[in-house]
Amino acid sequence: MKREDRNRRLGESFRQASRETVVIVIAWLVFLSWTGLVCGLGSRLEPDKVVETVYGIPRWAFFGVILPWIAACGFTFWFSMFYMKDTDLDPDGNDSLEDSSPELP
Amino acid sequence: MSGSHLAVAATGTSNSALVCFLGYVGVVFVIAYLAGRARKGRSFVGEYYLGGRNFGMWAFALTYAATAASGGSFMGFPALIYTHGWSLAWWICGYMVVPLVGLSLIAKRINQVGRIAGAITVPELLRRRFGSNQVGNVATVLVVLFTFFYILAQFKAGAAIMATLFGGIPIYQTVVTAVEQTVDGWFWVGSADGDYLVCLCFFALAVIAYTAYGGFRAVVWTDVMQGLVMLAGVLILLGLTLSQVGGLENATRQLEKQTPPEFGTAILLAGPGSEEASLPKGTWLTSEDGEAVRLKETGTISGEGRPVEVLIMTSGQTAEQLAGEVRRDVTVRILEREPYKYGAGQEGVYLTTPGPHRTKPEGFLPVLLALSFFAFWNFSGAGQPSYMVRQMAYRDTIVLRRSVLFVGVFFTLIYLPLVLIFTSARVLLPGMEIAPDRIMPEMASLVTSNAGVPWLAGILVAAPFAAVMSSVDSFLLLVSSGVVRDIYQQGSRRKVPEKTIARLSYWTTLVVGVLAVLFVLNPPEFLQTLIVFASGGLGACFLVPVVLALYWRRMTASAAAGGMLIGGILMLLLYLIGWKVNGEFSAYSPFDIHPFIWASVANLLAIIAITFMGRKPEKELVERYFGT
Repeated sequence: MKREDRNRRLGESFRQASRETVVIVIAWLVFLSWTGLVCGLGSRLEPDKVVETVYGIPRWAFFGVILPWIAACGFTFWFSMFYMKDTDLDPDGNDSLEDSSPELP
Repeated sequence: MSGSHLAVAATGTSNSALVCFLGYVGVVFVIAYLAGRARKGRSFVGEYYLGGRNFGMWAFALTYAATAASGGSFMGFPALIYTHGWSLAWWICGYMVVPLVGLSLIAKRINQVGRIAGAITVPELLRRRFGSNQVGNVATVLVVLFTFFYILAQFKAGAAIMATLFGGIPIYQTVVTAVEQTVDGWFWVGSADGDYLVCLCFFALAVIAYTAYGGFRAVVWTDVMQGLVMLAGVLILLGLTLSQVGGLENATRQLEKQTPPEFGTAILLAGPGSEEASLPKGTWLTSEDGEAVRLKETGTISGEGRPVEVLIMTSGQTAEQLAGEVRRDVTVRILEREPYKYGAGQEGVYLTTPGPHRTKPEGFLPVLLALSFFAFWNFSGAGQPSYMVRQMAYRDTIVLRRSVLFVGVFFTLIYLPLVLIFTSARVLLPGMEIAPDRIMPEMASLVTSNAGVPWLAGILVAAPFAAVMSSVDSFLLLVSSGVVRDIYQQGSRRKVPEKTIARLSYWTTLVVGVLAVLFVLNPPEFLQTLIVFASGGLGACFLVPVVLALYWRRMTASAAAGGMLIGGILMLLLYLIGWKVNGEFSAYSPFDIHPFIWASVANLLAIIAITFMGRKPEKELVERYFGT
């Protein structure tokens, strides 16, 4: 493989990995906001009021933890199966584990 | 449950646990032997420390998940759920995106850069990425330092879990007594409990032996088994618990009526016809006012009236529930009572946030703390070199993509069921505030006995063993690789024969393990603080430099070294200040922000500043790792 070709392919995979990282950070912010808003606003103890439940789970925990958790699993499925691209992890084509020398090239 | 019932349950659990543990250790040794054989004929260093960089989905996903779930997940976390209720659902929910953040954020790039560099360890990866021995040396020192602290804490945790589970076995008690008599008066060791010493030696021997012989492949293969044990244990426990509590809705409604108990001191008064006697810890009694009271320590009925520590139940429903379990021939006169600082007398407090707390007026989980945990679970995990090494070891991106999904499902099936199980445990097993760390084995014993399958308790209590072992072995190998690969092999001027490296690796793993055991023979006092200090320290040193090394072309070697040093030193400094200010080894958190955050931010700013002050890195080096 020519050096230019190797560098071009590596550059492409780097840019794809960077895009995936941006999506991950956005997803983290979205789920942080979702859980933070629902749990922060709806989970406090209100005097003389019965705690509402959904399927036996406190309402705030169902909508602020269980539901986003299921959504996060769905997002993880989409991300890992459809958005994340396969990449050549060894662009130099030589598994250098056979060389046990730790010295700098 | 009466005191005697508690003791019987503990013994039953311990017998099953002992049999299960011995069988489990046997399987672990077989796996280590097979892993050692699989290594033959291949490059030693790459195999011993990185498993040949060829792991498939099951191995990669389960080693990652099992290492992430340490003993805390199965001992500390259930205890917290039991003590503080449903607020723990919010506390732990950051795990919903850990597979994405902890695994996908750097996994692809770190594996790719690791292959291009031919790196086996994290310090070596940094050394080659920046073409600088200085960076590698700084990283090695920091990895060895903080990881060693972590190993100390995990060894103590492993010994403590064993001691908790085996407490009721007669043979075990005989050995413990013999050991206590032998070491009495010895320097360093003499002050430790006999049961702790016995368990520490047994636990350490097993872990050090299979890790030293089998290397990374053995660690990963045992992680696979350990991960499956954890998953099976939790799901079985969930099914049994929900069926016995009458469904989740019923458990939640009963929990809603509960109010936090009170701690206090009392004297025991003999009723008519009762003799002077010693009552074991955990015995249920009644106070003069009719409240259910549980002994927090062994109590003596005598005329002298020596005060004992007690737990006072405040929910009337609990006293009714315990009607058949309470000893009526002894009465308790309460001398002092200490209500919870948050949640005392409030029904519904276990279903809401911030959750009850014995000493904090703001409750267990204020909003800002909950949000910071969402960040902590994701980013401190992503910054651990032990996880990074695993991300350098998978075969291809197909394995990575499937593993992200698998780990997502695994964490969902572990952490959410734990919340359901141990909130229900408050209904099935009231009064466990006297020993919350025992809630996992006690629940395992109770629900399996009720279901008529007591032998199953052995499998359920194997989960905490599995969790601690899978964390200790990983960190042991991390320190060993730092010493052999990054210090000895790097410092050697000539090419070292593979046979020498192999011998050195076995011995280093062994010596590091033995050294750690010697350190914790006198058990460190602040276990949880030590764990948070070590894992936070590793995260503060490595998260920012490694992420930027993988994604920022402009970053320089000096910036990487400077950032790691500043992160590590600031972390250490904030704990030393905490020691000075608080009078014990603990974090000093300016503006209530954890030292990990301060150190990571300082690390980031240092890297940016030093990078822009220095010259651009060589074009050839950048192209080698980033392409064009």
